[in-house]
Amino acid sequence: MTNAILKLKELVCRYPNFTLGPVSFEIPPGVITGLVGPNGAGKSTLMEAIFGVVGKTDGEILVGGFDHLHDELEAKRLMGYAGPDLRFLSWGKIERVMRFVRGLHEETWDEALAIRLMTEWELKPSMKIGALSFGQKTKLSLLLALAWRPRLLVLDEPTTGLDPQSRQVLFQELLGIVADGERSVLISSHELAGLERFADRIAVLKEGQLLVEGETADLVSHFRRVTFRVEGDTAGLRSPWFWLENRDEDRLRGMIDLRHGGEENLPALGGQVESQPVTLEEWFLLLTTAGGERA
Amino acid sequence: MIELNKDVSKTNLKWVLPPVSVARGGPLYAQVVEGMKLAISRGDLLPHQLLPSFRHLAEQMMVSVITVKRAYDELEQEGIIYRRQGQGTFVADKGVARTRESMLKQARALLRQGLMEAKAAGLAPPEIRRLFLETLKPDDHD
Repeated sequence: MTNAILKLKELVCRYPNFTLGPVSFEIPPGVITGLVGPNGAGKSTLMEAIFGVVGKTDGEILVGGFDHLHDELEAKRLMGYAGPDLRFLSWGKIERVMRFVRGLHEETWDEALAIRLMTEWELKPSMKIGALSFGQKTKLSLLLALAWRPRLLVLDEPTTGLDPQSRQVLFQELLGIVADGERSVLISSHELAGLERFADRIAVLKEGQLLVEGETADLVSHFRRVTFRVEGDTAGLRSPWFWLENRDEDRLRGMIDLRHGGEENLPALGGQVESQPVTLEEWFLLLTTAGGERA
Repeated sequence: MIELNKDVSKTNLKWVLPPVSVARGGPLYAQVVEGMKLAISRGDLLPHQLLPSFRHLAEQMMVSVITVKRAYDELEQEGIIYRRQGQGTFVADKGVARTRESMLKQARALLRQGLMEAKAAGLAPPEIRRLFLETLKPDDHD
């Protein structure tokens, strides 16, 4: 991944009550990466640091090989961002803000895409921004980020204000964006079913730390949810590859990481283990909730 | 010399393959593999027909690029499709035969699983045979 579109090297953002990082990961070209994590995990901080909205304490952020501070202009030219700040202060009508963004990115602005999204999302140039609903403002902010076809699209919780139809439109467009193999998307969302289907890679943040990053299908297929009975001693379960979900006396349910130990390694009574695959959402919940308390 | 069939490069497989759905269960890439095999065995996709790039198929099927890439990798490994540097991905000559082979293998595995469940339900071999013939009947016209 030498030609990574985004490269984070030991990024640290330190605040009085919260520290993000050190986080290191890369986004190769032509890929949708989903950033997931419980509220307060640092997803927005990470994305804002990439875009330069908040400062970093340490580490490096490279966009298309450009340092996001030293070569800010070059880095910003490659990167579009849509976040939760939807105030659009004093812009008047949609056509005005569109004219402005189009003027900033004249070389790459895709008018056909802009018109398509306006139609799909039922936005009109004459609409007053101040009178738009939350969902409509989300759509406008996404449209403005997508339409100039940036190499890297950073979307912070774009699905929150969107109905299922509009989400479908968004994901379809994102697939179209990465289809050229050049451009990439980093998207944070709690819509895990959508990410499981559309994201090539998943990065999990918890309490400011990157827990895992990898190909979506791999992450999920390496794990299984298991139910079994134990006889007395559960010392064998104090292992880094078992996540306890819940327990009722001698009955246990949890998740195992197949790369580090199979069902046969569980101290199950009579060797009997019921096991089933997990969805991304189940995997995420177990990893981020059950992960803290082991058997 | 094989003549590559290129005029179908714009084929939208969205209408050729069954839709990929979480509701069907199992990994999504396996659904793409199955769908492709079904289309090839039915003759909806012909030998040496050019297939969309995995990035375009991802867009058509509304799944991640990596899902289709895995499906193509698996189909290539099974000899059902082949890649030509700079030209694209095509249905293999032996695609139909290999598809039948793999579908047969799957059918055999499913029958074996049925047999085990029948045994678990306490059926004796003659009863299992009767059950099998009974199940076969409605389909037995040809």
